[in-house]
Amino acid sequence: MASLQELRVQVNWLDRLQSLNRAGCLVVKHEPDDTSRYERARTQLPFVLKRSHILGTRFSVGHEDYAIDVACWCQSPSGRACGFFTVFRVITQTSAPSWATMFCFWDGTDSSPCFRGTDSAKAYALQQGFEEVTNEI
Amino acid sequence: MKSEIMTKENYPYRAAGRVWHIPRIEFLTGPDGTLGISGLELERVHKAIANEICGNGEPLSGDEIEFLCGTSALSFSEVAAQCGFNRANISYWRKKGAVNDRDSSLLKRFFWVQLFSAEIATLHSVNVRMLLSEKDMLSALRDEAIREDITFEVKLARAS
Repeated sequence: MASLQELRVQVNWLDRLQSLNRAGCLVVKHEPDDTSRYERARTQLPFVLKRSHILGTRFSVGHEDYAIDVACWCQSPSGRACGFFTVFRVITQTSAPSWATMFCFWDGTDSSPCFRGTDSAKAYALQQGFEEVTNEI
Repeated sequence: MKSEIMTKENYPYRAAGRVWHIPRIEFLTGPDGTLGISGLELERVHKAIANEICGNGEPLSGDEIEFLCGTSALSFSEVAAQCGFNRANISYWRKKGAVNDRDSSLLKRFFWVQLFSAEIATLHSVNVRMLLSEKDMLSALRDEAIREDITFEVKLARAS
């Protein structure tokens, strides 16, 4: 059986996220909960899951033995403004996760970073310690 | 690893640029201890809000367009293509903040069907009659527009 280290860079986690039961895919509760960015994070979850490209993965700080952070990016519905940069924490010890939490949503509002394309989003993710997924298993 | 459910009642929920009172909403504590709201619960809440937006008779706002696109997982381009607009129309309405009544009606019907198509068959007869009445009304308006020279009649081309 592959180790979590191997799974982290070999599995297409976005694909696993997309096939995850919606009951097990959370958007983290944010305070205050009346900001437009948090509103968009909740509203755009179906769009993000359907449209995102995976940028990379890394072990979740403090949860290294069972959780992997997955960075993603997609164009916004308008296709012109800043895209949506998201990070999901996937709870797993196998290649089939049962839980995931979206805990980061950046769309250029509320002083959050703005990424207009996959390349700039990926460059940022790699700087933050995410590694590209290599071979899907 | 277990999860815990926390229920809140009469919860003020911001969506589509407004705050809605949600009678009951569930939050979950995930296995890593994070408090959040599940995709399934979001879908339940957002469909209720979308139903209210689509049925309230008011012109669609820019925030509501973005909300309905996100909830339906559709881009502006896809909505525009399916409704006979171009993407610039949708972007213009989004920036302007409102859609005109005629296009609002079309977009609302489009989104409502997108979100509730699976449930249409389970609606009671009174709801179906309402849908048929809407169709008859549109048909009458079409004929009236031709009679008044607002537009002209077209027919389906015969398949070659």
